[in-house]
Amino acid sequence: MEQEVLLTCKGITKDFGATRALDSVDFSVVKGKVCGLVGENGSGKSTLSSIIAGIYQPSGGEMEYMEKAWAPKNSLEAQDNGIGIILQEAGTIPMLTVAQNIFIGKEKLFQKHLVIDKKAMNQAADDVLQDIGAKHIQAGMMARMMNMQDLKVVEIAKAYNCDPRIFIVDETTNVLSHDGREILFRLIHKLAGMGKSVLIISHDIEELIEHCDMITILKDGKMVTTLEKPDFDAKKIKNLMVGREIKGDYYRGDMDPYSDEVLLEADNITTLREITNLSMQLHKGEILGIGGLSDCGMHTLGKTLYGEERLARGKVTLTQKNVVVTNAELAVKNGMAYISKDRDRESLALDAPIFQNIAVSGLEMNQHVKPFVSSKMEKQYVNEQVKGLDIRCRSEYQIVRTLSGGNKQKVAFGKWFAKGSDIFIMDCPTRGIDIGVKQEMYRLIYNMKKEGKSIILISEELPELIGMCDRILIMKNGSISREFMRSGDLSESEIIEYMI
Amino acid sequence: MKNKIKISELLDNRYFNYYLPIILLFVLTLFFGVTTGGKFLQLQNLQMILNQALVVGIVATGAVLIYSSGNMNIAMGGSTAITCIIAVNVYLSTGSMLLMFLTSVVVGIAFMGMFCVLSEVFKLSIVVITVLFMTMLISLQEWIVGGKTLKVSYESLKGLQQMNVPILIFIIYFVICFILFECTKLGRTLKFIGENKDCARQTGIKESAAVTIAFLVSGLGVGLGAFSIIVRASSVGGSTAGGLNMEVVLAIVLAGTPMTGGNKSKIFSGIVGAVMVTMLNNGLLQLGVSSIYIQAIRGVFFVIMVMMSGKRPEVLPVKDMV
Repeated sequence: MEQEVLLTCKGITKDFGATRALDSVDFSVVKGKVCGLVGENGSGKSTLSSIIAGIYQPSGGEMEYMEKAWAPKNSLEAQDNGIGIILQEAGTIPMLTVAQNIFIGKEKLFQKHLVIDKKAMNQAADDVLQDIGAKHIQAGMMARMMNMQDLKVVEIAKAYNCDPRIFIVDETTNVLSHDGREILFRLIHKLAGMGKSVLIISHDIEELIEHCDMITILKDGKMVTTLEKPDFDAKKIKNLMVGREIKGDYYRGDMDPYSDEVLLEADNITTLREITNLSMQLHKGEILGIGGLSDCGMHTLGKTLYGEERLARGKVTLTQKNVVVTNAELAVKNGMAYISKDRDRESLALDAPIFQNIAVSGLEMNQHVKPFVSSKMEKQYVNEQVKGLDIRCRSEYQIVRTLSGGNKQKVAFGKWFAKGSDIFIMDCPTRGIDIGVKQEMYRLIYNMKKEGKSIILISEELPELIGMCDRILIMKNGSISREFMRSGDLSESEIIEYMI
Repeated sequence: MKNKIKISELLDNRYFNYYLPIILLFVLTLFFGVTTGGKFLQLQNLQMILNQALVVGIVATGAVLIYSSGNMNIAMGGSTAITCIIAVNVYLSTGSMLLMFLTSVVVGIAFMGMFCVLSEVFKLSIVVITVLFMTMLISLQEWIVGGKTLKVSYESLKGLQQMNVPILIFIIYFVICFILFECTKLGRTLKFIGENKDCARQTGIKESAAVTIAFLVSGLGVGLGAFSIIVRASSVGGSTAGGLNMEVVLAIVLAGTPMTGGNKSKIFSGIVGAVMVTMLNNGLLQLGVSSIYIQAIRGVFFVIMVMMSGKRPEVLPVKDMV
């Protein structure tokens, strides 16, 4: 059966200054199909989808949409013509309600004389949310009061409400909760069933294999190939993405023990939100995994251990130093490090250079004569990390915002490696990064264990926890529901039982 | 298109970006020098510009520390005026120039310290506190001085004027601020807070401590600025330091320190911006431009500089950065 093409890109090229992000890419969006777009960080996937959605204009090449030349000047033009996009970055306005975010730019629909009928707007938003299966979100709630996962669902509702012919989902699934993913994929299949087209960009190959009809692979800004459903094979796709063979198992293969020495202890802690009567210990040289559903409290636990959440009861203690951790300043002073799940908002200064982001952790250390910071020592401090972690950049003065996800994460890691912290709390450290960089991250984490550092690895990916951790704590409703020790026999299904 | 790329690349260059305000200052000097047939460049005129810019330069140099952390203080004018009044009163009652100087410094620092304490006690943003004080201090100035003028005899200030004390004060204060801002942990910390408060906190930086030091250092600037006003004008009245609030903001932003603070903040913004504003006034007046248009031109300059300082790079990653 011949496929009906909705949009065609011919020889699309995009230059950012002297750098070519896309190089003569030919690509088609087929009507009624779910198409996956994969590639390493910086391979050009987001650039291509942004050009289709009018966010960027191509430097060369042409597009055809519904048999007419397509050259949108901005995303509004694309949206008006039926191309909706959900971006990796936050796309909601914190000071507006859910309903106002969904109907932004369409307020006139609810205008009665000079006044906006808020009740009607909220009702319409509730209908949209119900339609996509997100009944738990209230239309009148302020966006700033909501968590990152639900905000993404609001964006999905907003894009869906525009009745798109082409629905682009750019690396959104990695910030969604389990329920959020279900909502998204249910919607995607519903749209495809209605004859719309969906373009998903994701690093989760298994997820794409499950949901897509075709997968297009990009590498270094060039089109590699497009595979149809019968040809899908995870290993083959990974190899095509990186241009070399990826070994099947990139987690650690050892069963090395850890010390009995307890470094960090949470004693019956209860926070003002999510965590209830939780106790746990972290040992020297241990990789301790914390898993569960996204809203089980594991992300709050990470912050609590670092002194970033107020405790209603209990205490977090650095046992060797006999220090009660009450704030981040104290935690850092005592050798702790934290990498947030919300990397761009909390772990990096995006508009500052790599240099400043790494050097900031060493302001005390890089002083020859107090209180003067030695520029020479500072430069060495930063360069060691840029080289050691292979942060790919034009120079250490490149602005972090312009780096790919994987390299941004390396900068966030580098800040703490340089400082020589002993206890690392990593909240979803491999979220939104490609398999090549993931492999490097796992190697780094394992090397840290070997050096005697202790790591708390909070993750929503069970294979990652099973593959990397000495011990896994599974959380449910703010408490620990089960502890698993490292074992070659541990399976995902065994763990899932204690998550849901 | 090609030109556009070149300009954007130039603006991305950190050295060009850092020194752009100084380059603009030279361009402006050259422009007025040529258009006024050399009159603008006469030593006497340049000296006058520098003298006029000095007080704003002193106060604004300290304010850069505050602005770099993403905070604002728009009560600097009012604080300076009240400091002047208290210092002159001390002189009038004691006759001691040293006491007048020390009072200026102590009161200036005390004002800024008070803003920090109130912010901590009432859990209000320090910006809100300074907004409240901006009007309160101006009213207080009116209430204390009214239509009167507090005068210090010319004879007692003559020596200080001849020694060009305000210039010496500026140089010493600028060196202190430069060292604190560029060579110690304080400047780097403040700039990082300006970039991302949450990230700074999670990196172990105590924002309140760094911002309090920034306010205290700028308080020293307020005190020194107040003393310089007294030395130059020999009197204090209801309009003393009027407009200083806005001139300080204008100077800092014109010389390339973003309103949001952060990495692009420059310690020389205060003085370079102050000189730039004075030059604009002086040069345009010499060209016969009406004062109404001068305000408008200053406004256009301000908008351009804010836009340039707020420039953000394109956000998507490109392949050689992977």
